Amino acid sequence: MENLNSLNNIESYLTNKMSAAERKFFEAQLAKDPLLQNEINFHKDVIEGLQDYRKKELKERLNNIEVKGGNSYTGIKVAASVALATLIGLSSYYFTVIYNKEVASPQSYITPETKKEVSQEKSSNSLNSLNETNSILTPSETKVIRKEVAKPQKETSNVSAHIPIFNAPDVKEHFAEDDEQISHEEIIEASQGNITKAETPKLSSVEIKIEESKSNQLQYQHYNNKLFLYGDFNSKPYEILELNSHKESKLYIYFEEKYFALKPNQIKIANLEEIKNAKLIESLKMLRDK
Amino acid sequence: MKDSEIIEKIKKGDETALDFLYKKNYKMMVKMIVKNNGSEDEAKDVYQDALIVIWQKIQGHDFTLTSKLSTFLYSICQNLWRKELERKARHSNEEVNKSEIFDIDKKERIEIINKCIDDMGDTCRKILTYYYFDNLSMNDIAEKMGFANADTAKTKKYKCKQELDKKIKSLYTASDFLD
Repeated sequence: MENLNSLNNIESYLTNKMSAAERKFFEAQLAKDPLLQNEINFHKDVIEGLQDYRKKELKERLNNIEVKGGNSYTGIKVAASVALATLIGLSSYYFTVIYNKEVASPQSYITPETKKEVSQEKSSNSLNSLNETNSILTPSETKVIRKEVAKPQKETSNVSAHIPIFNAPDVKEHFAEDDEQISHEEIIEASQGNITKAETPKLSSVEIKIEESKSNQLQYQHYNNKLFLYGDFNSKPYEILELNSHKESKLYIYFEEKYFALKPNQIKIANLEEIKNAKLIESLKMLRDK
Repeated sequence: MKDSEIIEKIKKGDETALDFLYKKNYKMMVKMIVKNNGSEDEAKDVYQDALIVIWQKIQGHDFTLTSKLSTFLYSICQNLWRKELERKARHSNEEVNKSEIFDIDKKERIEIINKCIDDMGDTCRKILTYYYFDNLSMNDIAEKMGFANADTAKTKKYKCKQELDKKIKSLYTASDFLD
């Protein structure tokens, strides 16, 4: 180290880029050189100034990110809360699908008051102790989506719709603009209280595509993050039901007074299987009635 | 985005990954702090600090993730909040903490430094903050700033730093710090 005062040395020292030996040597010099000490202090201040500046900048950036869902504290409570109650709020959404274009306003949506009531119900601990069967019956969160198709689409074979979430959007031109809704969803998902939950696949942001099918068989598949439904879904109303337990989210579809399970890992086209389990039907029914 | 993707992006200094992480874990972290006697504003503040800690840690050279990112973030949040609670408790008990009697010279020096940083050109400021705070490599800085290569970034960084030092020193002399 020929020149101890060189900017490079000072920088390596201050940014911890010296080897242990270099550092030791440098510090020994530093101890007997007040000028070098001054210089070090100067650069330390400058570097700290730059770091503070950047930290503030990043914090401001985060501060400007709007975390969706209105009053987040209320939101947290909702998410933390368990039990059927959540069903009420997130229910009933009606919209009309016409060529991907017009979505009518939903008729009911959750208000902050409802959320608060909901939140008093239960702690997540009790949920964790529930076994699989029970968790189907007492989902931590549930959404009911209803769709009513105004008129049959003959020439369309591709109608897509997002599962609506939470707050009601105004009338929109394109579903593609529904980002907002998706982020509501993510927030709920992420705030389940226990960390492992955060990685649950976000079924609710699944896009739905309807393909009119020639056969009378009702079929479905998950492909490319989209849920494809094959059958006469355009002319009759169907509902996608989502049951979120602490373990996983499950999707069901209600169509022509029957309930069907939509397995999340169904990649190939498969027939819709009607649900026979009476308990499950009961809870899905409750969901729909809310 | 998967944890590994987020980490890759953060390593390159991509702030959008930070935004993503922020939104994704917001409720969980804020809830944890609110449950532990924090206000929502405090929670938000601590959570943001925790994210910035993660941001810097990931960019450190020897970073390896041993748990899920959200778990890691959660523990940092907890630690920061514990510290903050301790700090608050200390403050209500002791009246004046001796180490906190403020060094007026130092305060003035910091003001000068901050002013000079503010006055710097955008490019210089970005290079220097990316280098000193984000720990980005010269390669990453070059990429982020659209420079030809790492050498260009290195030269620019050196010049910018010298300029800044010079400016600060001249103002120091003006206000008579350096004898």
